[in-house]
Amino acid sequence: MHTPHIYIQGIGAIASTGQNHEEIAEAIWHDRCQLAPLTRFETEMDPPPLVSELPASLIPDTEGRLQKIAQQVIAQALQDAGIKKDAPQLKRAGLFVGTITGMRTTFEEEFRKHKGKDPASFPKIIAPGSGRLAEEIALDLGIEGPVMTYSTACTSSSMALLHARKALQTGLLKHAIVLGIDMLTSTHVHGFSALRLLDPQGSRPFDVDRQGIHIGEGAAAMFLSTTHTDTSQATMIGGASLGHPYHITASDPDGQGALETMLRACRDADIQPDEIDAIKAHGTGSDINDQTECKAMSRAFSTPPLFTSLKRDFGHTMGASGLLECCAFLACLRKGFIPKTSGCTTPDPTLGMSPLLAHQPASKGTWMMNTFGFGGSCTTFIVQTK
Amino acid sequence: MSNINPIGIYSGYALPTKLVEQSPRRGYQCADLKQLEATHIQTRIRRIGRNTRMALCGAVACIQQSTIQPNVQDMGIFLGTALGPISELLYCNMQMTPALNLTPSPIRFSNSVSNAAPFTIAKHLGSVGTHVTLAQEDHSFEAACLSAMLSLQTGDVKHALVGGCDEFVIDTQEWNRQHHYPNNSLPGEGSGWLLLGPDSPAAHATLLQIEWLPVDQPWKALTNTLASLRHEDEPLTYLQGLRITDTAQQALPQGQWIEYLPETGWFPTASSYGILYALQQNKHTGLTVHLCQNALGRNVACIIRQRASKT
Repeated sequence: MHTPHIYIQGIGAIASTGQNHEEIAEAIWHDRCQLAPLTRFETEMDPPPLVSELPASLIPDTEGRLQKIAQQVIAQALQDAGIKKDAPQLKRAGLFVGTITGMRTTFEEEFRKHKGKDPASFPKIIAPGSGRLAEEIALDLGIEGPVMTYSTACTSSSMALLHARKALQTGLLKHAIVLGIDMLTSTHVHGFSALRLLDPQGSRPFDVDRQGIHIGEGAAAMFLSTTHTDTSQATMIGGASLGHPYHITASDPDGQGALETMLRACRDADIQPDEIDAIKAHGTGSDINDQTECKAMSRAFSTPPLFTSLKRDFGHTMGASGLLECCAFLACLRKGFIPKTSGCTTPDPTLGMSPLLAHQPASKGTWMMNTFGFGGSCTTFIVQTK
Repeated sequence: MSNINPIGIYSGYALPTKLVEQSPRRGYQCADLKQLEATHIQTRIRRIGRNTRMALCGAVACIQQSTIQPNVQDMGIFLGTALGPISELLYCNMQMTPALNLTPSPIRFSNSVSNAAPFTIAKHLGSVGTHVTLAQEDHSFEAACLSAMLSLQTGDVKHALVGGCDEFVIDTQEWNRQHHYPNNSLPGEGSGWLLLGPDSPAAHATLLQIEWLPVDQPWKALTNTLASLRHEDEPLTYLQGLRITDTAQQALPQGQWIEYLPETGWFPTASSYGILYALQQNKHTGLTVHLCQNALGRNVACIIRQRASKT
């Protein structure tokens, strides 16, 4: 099937290091990572883990804060695309959201109110689930197309983007808004700690001393269209998602899932792997992820292209990471550089390859974006900037 | 939605549930899960949560009942679940409270991962196609169906296993309150699955369209859609899903209305049971339209063409 190109008309992003994509790119340029002990909620972890939190000023402790951040980041993407909130394109658009936590942060807050009480008296809050956010946003924007929330662990927003692309490719829609959003939750901080996946010094992707991830929070949005206009930022030319069910919390040691997904994305884009100029790797800083991703890259490419990771810059933002890192990467390209892998000072020699250790000038090219997740979920998409 | 090709439905299965009268959790429940697992999986899978176990049983039974042999390795798995592995999440939350040990056990945390169920199904079946979890509240099953249709249309998957699965975990009154269901509704739970593929004469029915209806005048929009799809004198059957009231009956073209929720209970992915109910009855030939409204008043229609000759 011929794959029509899909145009990224506008992007929006909010992370610990900046309240829009320009600020985020600026922070990356100056290597300003935002990494500090957890303050969002009480923890008895000693010392508290290092995380990348959104500034408190951005998330007032009020009801509806998740919705406010989502609205803000979507407004940025629409403004970037030159689309007004009452534009007719929006009415006929679809909304594709990727999130793990959704509005579940609210039920954790309820649990915290019961601190010290008998566990039997704890509230059993089950709703709203992850999907309510999308429904509220669609109603607010007057979106009448499909409303879909993908919750596939760390690949959630990449999965949302890939399916939005399909909806445009098939002609079901002409426009789509894609949103990736995840906030820090106690479940994830403590859960990743229980799995011994948190690096006490923060994420150091591909570094010889890496010990894991650090968690971040953030949101990103894209406005996609089948039509090329002057505001088009980039073109999405290919993508793929595969499941490789090796282990629920670990990727397969051979990197087979990642390999097949990258190759399939290249086939979908009708390009050879060697036409890729650089890879925005998933690069979490966990021992196994970085090993398997490097194995996959070394098998996919005769000469692996430049690759980099943004996990140190604003943390592993879980379900939001795929879209947020893509937006940050595109923002860096707009400023004229490919970002280096912050946090990697001594590349792990056992990986057989080294990530980008200094920013490199570039703005045009063909870029591969990898996101992998728990449950063996692998996603890759390819974008071009001209 | 006219650009999406019709999709064939090759198999369907819903885990049997029965009415458990015991207060305070009166509702339809998958009470014989162990037995169903022995029947369909033939071995007890250890260390998985209840939602995942329900999803696995339903998905495997759906494949077992198929009259075609899908290429399982490349098959996509699309699970709609509003609540996900909710009993595992609740347990994790309790484990994290100071009254207990503050940290969830690794196994509980792993089981609470949002795509734990598709992962387990894929591992059991040996599938390396895409597997996806959609959590779109009361439209989760519809969202999973649309995602599967898109993936079939773009050729990313040859067949798709599409399910709706949610577990009933709290008291009846709380269930209805938190989901904004009518106070007197009977809760339910379940795991309902369809095997989809390119349409062919071997299909039991054809999934024509999943349509998110506009907030203003939804029934007018649906009437127009039906006018474009319906053959002359083709019988029309409506399946009355969550929150669909008499207003819809009065506004839509005349047809037979089937109320299935009293027999399945109210749960976010009850749509999967409604559609399967109609397919299994096999007496409503023609167009079948499933309707479901979410808590914010948005309606989604799922339009299927049933074939009389198939059983």
